[in-house]
Amino acid sequence: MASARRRYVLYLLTLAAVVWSLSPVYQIIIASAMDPKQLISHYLYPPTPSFDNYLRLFGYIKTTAGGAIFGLAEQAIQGLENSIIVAVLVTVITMAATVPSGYALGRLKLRGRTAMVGLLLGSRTLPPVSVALPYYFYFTALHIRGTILGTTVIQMSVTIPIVAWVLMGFFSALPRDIEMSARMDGCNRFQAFARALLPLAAPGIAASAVIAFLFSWNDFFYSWLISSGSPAHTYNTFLTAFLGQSSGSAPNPTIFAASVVVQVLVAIIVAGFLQKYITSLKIVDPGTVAQ
Amino acid sequence: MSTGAKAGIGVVVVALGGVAAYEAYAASTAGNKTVTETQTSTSTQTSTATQTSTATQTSTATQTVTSSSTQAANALTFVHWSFENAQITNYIKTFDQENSWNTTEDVLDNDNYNPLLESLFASGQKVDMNYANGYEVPRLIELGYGQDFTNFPNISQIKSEMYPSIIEALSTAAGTMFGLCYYWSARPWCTVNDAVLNKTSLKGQRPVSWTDLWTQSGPTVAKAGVVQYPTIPNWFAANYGIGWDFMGEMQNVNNDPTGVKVLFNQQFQPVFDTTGPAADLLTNWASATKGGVVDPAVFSQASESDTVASGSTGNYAYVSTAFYDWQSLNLPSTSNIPVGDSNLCPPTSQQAGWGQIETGCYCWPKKTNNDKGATDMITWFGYKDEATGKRITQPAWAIAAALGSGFPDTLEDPTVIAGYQSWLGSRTNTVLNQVQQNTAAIGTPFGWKSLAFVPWLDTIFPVLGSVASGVLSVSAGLTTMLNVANSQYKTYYGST
Amino acid sequence: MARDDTRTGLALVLPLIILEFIVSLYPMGYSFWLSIHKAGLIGGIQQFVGFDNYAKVFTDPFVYDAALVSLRFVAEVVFLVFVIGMGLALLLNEPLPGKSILKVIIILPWALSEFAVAITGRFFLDSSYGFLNAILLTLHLEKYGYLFLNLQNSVEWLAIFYAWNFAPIGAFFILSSLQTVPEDLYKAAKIDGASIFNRFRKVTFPYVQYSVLITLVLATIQAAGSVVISFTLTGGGPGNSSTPITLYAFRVFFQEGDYGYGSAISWLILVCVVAATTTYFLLLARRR
Repeated sequence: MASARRRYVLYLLTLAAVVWSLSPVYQIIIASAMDPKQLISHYLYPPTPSFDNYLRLFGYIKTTAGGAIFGLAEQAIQGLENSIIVAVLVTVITMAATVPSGYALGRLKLRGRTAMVGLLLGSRTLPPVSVALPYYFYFTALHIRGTILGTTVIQMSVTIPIVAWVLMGFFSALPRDIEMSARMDGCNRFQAFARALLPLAAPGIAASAVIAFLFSWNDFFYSWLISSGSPAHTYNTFLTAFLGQSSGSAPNPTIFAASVVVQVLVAIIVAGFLQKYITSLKIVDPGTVAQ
Repeated sequence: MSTGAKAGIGVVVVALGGVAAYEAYAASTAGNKTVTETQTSTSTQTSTATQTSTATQTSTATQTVTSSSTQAANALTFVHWSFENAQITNYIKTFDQENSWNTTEDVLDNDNYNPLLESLFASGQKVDMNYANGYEVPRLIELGYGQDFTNFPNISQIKSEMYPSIIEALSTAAGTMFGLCYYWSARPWCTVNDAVLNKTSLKGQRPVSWTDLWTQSGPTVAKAGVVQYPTIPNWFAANYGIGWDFMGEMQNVNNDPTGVKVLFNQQFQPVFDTTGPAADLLTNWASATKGGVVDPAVFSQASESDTVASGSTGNYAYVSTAFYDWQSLNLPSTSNIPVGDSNLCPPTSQQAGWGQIETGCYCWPKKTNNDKGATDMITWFGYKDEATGKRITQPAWAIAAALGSGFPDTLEDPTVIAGYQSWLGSRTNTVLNQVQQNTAAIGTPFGWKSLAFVPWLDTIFPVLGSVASGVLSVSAGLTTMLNVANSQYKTYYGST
Repeated sequence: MARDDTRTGLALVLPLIILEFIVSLYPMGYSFWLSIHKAGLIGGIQQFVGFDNYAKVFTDPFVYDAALVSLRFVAEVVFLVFVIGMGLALLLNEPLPGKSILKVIIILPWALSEFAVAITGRFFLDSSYGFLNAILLTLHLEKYGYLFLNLQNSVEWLAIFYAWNFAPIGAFFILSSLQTVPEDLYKAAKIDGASIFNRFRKVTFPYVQYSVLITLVLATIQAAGSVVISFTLTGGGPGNSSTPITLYAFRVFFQEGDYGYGSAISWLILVCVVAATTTYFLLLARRR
């Protein structure tokens, strides 16, 4: 009947959505399980799947499938370490700055609130090219190009506007009377925040922290500009080593695929965590004002 | 003060405290490799971000100070691009052990190597040795980051052992040497795949010139229909892809090994125009692409390795590439071309050889961590190991990657010959002779010594791609190339 | 009594303002300073040249092509994000088994970095070892690998992969407002005999138009500013055919070493993006 046909159509659409979302990820995963000769033979699945490319990436196997030496393992590992350090730093500092301000902008009556919200919104519209290049010049002159500090600071120009925005919306959407009833019960302002509001806000704050981490982990342009070629290079910066390598080291598309999968794994884990919270992190209408 | 304000201040304090704690962490693990200058050899201790360190003679408040007493004296920095990085690390280990140095490698992204290198120097970082291509070094010297080799220890002795043509390639317009040879090679050199060619009427033949390739041999193979596209040229979308091909081919076809007649003259002014040899060359390119002689996939390839990988599939009759890349076309582990079927086009009288001499050299930076360490390292890599009197890197590179050495004795070294034999087999003597003949016929573009060359090349190589692929007309493309050349010349040398 | 929280609020917002200044405002100001000088790698900041650098933008032949590429790219991204985002949101609004897994799968492309997306695009579209070619070759739909990233279509592929990356977050935004549409309205419309299309237009769309608009605004802003996908997937395409104005500004700054001119271009990009955003928000204000 109509409803059976409707269900059939729905399942088809769902299948299409799954194929659409997953096929690029699927193909890079299978590429990482093949060797170069198999890759150019147009297989749709790895005929002899192996983890060898991952072992090569981390230095447990020293040669490529073609016998050439693969020497980038040290850079890969250092890149991973640096990316984790930077992402943690960026998350901590971002949350430290945005949780109080998200609360203030979302729930308190402030003069100049619109101006501040406008400032945040404005920062989100900045094209990376406009912000990054002055940074490059400026950090170079300050001798912090190629350092963890420099990379952290420049990534915050991405995370802070987004997380502040999200938290502002999140805090303003929480029930109005929570703090009021806590204060009526005798708490002062800070206790009202800590005991009554914070437990409710915790999932949103956690989700925002994850978003900050993800944006830092995923950042390429800024961290490449600032950290490329230095000991503080991030993992994404390391990946560019595969892009322009000349043939003497033997082209390694399969090891490249493996290294991309490593980067993407974090994203996959995060996606699993975040999907529950995305709908609760409601968009805020810049016109609403806390009462 | 209200509790809210207290909370806000608390947050700021925590954040700053976190940053300070991190600075201490980074400093204690020497994560930040900037080393400050110390007049005395006592070590400097690290400090929090709010204090400047004591006992250093020079440091700014913004620089994190990291050093331990064992590192400060013998730390060196070597900046290079990505090529056989494991081999380079081995060299470094040997050098460090023999001479008690502690060298750190800084590997920069290949595709943006020159701007990244220049910015690295601009940031004040101290470097003891760096790679550069021949056309980048005059800029480094002009910018004050590098120095020429006039006062390099033993330079006359070193020069007396080198090929004169390589000395010339590694010298400024004024004739002072600016680097020791890391490698040289010929690029682009047209090679044939006999496995494919044997199925056509051109069996056993080789194109006698680039013009022949685009207008005769190529279309003949295209008509034969044995492959989808006869040629994949070295036209990948990077400045050292299609950009170098333009330079090399202009010099070959016009019998002008240094390009002073058809590219850039000795005053660094452009002598190509919208009509004439440059227009003829680009017209040939555009017709070849239009006629299906050239695989248009090359225009979308941004890296050398992609183009070589395509060549290795064995699906083309002609692959033009660098000599060291041609080695990969001959190795069964990386190439589908049957062994012995990939062969060089020999130099002929119709043009001055194939390609140009491209060089990579070891440069001598001005601001080093340790002057003796720098000269020691450059000597070890670029000349010989003075302790044993033997050349280490030159034979090793020749064997591992078919890179040319600046010293004639490398090709006389029996281990090197054995190395070539391992992949050339019975063709060894023929090939080595072809290399010698070709090298005698080609040269390095004089324009490479111009300060305006690199920004010009970086801007116009996409234009070459547009013209070759037919998007832009030949005259429009050449007009742009000429305008950019003139405007860059104006920036660096005043008015034309 | 009316409580004014300004003092507390300001104290809480202060760290944000300081950081915003350091990470956004100061660089923007510095960039403007560079753009009104003749500044470069060789020579540093030389002389004040007023708006000469800005004037140069309008006479530079490369700028025109790059701007066209940007416009084409942004338009295609916005269109795709609308279609895909709306479609995915509608799908997720239906009762389906395994929805939480489906949600994870659908948000996955958004969680990838633009850089990773560009690289998977390279692997997907490569003419020798790409997956798309593998499928077509296996199904015998072609004889040789097809060059997808050619002169005509590179920009389209950039837009497709960019939209693949962006649309999921739009889908979730739209989904959250879809879920506020009261069930009875649908029933009433069905009883009145409205077609699917009319039901969507009259019932659904009014509730979601706001989130759709926000999604498209964000898509526009981000796509206009994007540089990584063109940098990594096509490197600017065959020739300059997929070089948006952002990538061109980067090249001027970085490869030519002309900081003044590069900053001028990037300021003009910013002005255009801000103008577009303001227009969007003016439209928004009217809809209230």
